[in-house]
Amino acid sequence: MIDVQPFRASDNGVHLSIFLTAGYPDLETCGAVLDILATHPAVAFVELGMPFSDPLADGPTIQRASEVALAQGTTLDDVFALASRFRSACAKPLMLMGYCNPVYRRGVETFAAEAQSAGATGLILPDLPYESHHRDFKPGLEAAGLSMAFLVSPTSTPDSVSEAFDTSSAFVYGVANVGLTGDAQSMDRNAFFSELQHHREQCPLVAGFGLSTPADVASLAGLADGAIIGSAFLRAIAHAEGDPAHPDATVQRALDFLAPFLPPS
Amino acid sequence: MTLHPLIQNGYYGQFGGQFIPEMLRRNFVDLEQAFDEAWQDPTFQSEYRALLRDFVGRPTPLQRADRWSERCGVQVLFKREDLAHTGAHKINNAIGQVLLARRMGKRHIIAETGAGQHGVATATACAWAGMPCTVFMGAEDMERQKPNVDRMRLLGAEVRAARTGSQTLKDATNEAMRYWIAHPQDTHYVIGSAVGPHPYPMMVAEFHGIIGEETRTACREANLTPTHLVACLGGGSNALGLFLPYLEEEVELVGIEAGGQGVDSGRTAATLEKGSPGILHGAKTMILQDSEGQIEEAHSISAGLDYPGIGPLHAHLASTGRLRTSAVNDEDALQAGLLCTRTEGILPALETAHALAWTLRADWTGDEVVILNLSGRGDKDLMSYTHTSHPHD
Repeated sequence: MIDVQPFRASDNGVHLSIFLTAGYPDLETCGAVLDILATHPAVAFVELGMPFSDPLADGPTIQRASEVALAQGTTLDDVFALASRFRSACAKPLMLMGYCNPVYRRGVETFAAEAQSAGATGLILPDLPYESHHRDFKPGLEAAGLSMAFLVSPTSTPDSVSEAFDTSSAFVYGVANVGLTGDAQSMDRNAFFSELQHHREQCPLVAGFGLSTPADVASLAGLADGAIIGSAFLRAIAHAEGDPAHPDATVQRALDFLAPFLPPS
Repeated sequence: MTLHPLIQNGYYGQFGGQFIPEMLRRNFVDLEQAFDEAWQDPTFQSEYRALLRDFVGRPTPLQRADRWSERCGVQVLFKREDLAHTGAHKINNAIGQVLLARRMGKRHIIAETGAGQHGVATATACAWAGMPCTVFMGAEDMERQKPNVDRMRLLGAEVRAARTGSQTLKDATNEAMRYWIAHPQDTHYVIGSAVGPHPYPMMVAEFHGIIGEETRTACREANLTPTHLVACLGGGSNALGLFLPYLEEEVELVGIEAGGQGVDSGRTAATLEKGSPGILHGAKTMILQDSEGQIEEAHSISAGLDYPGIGPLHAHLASTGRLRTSAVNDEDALQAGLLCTRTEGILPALETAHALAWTLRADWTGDEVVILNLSGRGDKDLMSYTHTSHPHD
C-alpha cells in the first residue's frame, strides 16, 4: 500500500520540496546537487524532472533546462541512475516529473519497474488525463508500488478537484498560479487553497508554480503540506551561459539558495 | 455526414484523447459544449454560411483540369480552394472558430502558423470581427514566409516568434499552448489544423467539411462519380474537409505526405509512413520520435507540412486502411508546382504541389475520376520556386 504520510506536514509546518531537471546543467553536476538535496535538512522531498523535447506546461527556465539536458544526450537511463544515487543517500520521497510520451514510449510497465528499482516514490505527469491513467498507467504503476500526484488549478471544475484527490496516491499538486511553472502572476492563492482544505484529510496538498522564497513557503502555513520550488532553484544554480559548469560552484550556489529555508536555530 | 459515430470519449479509434495540463481542462470542457451547441444552432449555422458565401467567396469552383488530365492519363478535377479569400482553405476554419470564440465571450484570439496561411486567415477573421489577435510562428518560418508575416501585421495581428526547438510549426504550437495555459479565461486558441486535443480535430474537420459538401454538389450537377479524392497531409485539415462527406462512400481517399529529402533520409515529414504512435500537442497520434520518446524534427520544403505529427483522425483512418497514403519528396513537389503553373495557369502552394506530384506518378487505368484538393495558392512560395536550381541545405 502506498503511504502518503511522508508528504504530510505536521501542525502548521510546510515541507520544502525542490525540483531539479535531470541532466542539468550536466549529469555530473546534477548528481552533485542531488547529493546536497538528499542530505540538506531544509529539503523534505525532491522532484526530478525527466527532460522532454516539447514541455507544454513549463515556463522558459525549465524549458531551457530540458533543452540543455537533452542536448547533452540525457536519457531515461540517466534519470534512473540519478534516482538510484539519490536513493542510496537518503530515504526522502523522490517524485519523477515529466510528460506522458517518453513513459508511453518506454512502455508503462517497463518504466514503472525501472523507476521503482531506481528508488523513485512516484510520478507527476501533468499531461496525463484521468481516463488514460486508469486504463493505461494505473495497473503498471500500482504493480510497481509507485504513487501518482495529479494537479488541481484555480480553473479546475469541482469534479476534477474531487477526481484529483480521489486518484492521487502521493499528494495533490495545487497550482499556486494560473500559468506555467516559474510564472509569478498574481492570483488569490489563499482563497484557492482555502477552498481545498476539506480535501486534505484524504490526500496531502502540495503547492507549486511561481513559488521562490522562504516567505512564499511560509505563506502556505495551514493551507498546504508542502511547497515545490523549481524554476527559482534552477535559476539560482545556473552558471553564466557559455561557461562550463563547475560542480563545486554549482553546489555552493545550491547551498546558498537553501540556507534561508532552514528554521532559525 | 457527421463524425460523431467515429468518436468515443474523445478518441477516434485508438487515437486522439485530451493529453492536456489541468490548467486547460475547463477550457476543453467549455469548448466541446460550446461547439456542439453552436453547430446545432440554426442561427450560428446561418451566420457561418453567410460569411462563407459573402466574405470567403464560397462555393469555390470544381474545375476540370484538361491539360493536367491529359498528362496524367486520367480525368482530374481541381477543387479550387486557392480561390477562397486569403488564398487557401484555412479561412473556413478560422472564421468558424472566431465566430465560436465571440459566442463564448472570449476577448482575445491566439493561433499558431507554419506557412503563415492559417495565421493570415486567423488575422483576417479577427480583423473582420474586431478582435485582438496574436499569432505564434517559428522564427525559421518567419524567414521562409516573410510576405505572410507582413500580411498578418497589416491585418493588425501581433506576430510572436517561437525561438525554441526547430523554430517551426511544432514550436509555434508549443508557444501558443503555453500562452493559453497562462491566459485560459479570456483567450481562445484557434488551432489551424485537424490536430491537438479533442474536440479540435473534429471541430476543424467540421468547419472544413464545406469543401467536401460543395464537391458533392458539383459532382451531382455534373453527373460525375469520383473514384479518388487526393489531398496533401500536414496536420491534415484540407484533406479531412474534402473527405468528410465521403467517409462512408465507395471512393478512395488518398493523403500525400511530405517526404522531404526522402522518407528514409532522416529529413522527412512523412509521419504516417515513418512515425509511431505517441503523444504530441495533447493527442495520441502518429508522430516522428526517437527511441526515448523525444519528438524529432520534421523536414519539408513546405513550411505547412513541416510537422512531426498528423491529425489523430488521419492516424485512425490510416490504421483501418480507409485512408491510403504516399509520400512525395521536396524536389518532385517543386517540379509539379512549376508544371501546374505553366500548364494550368495556377501557381499552387508548395503543400498542394505534393498532391499534384502524386497524380503525375500514380498508376492510372484511365477510367478513374480524380478530385484533387487545390488547397492553396503559391504566392507565398515564390522564393522557393524561383530558387529550384539551388540544392537545399
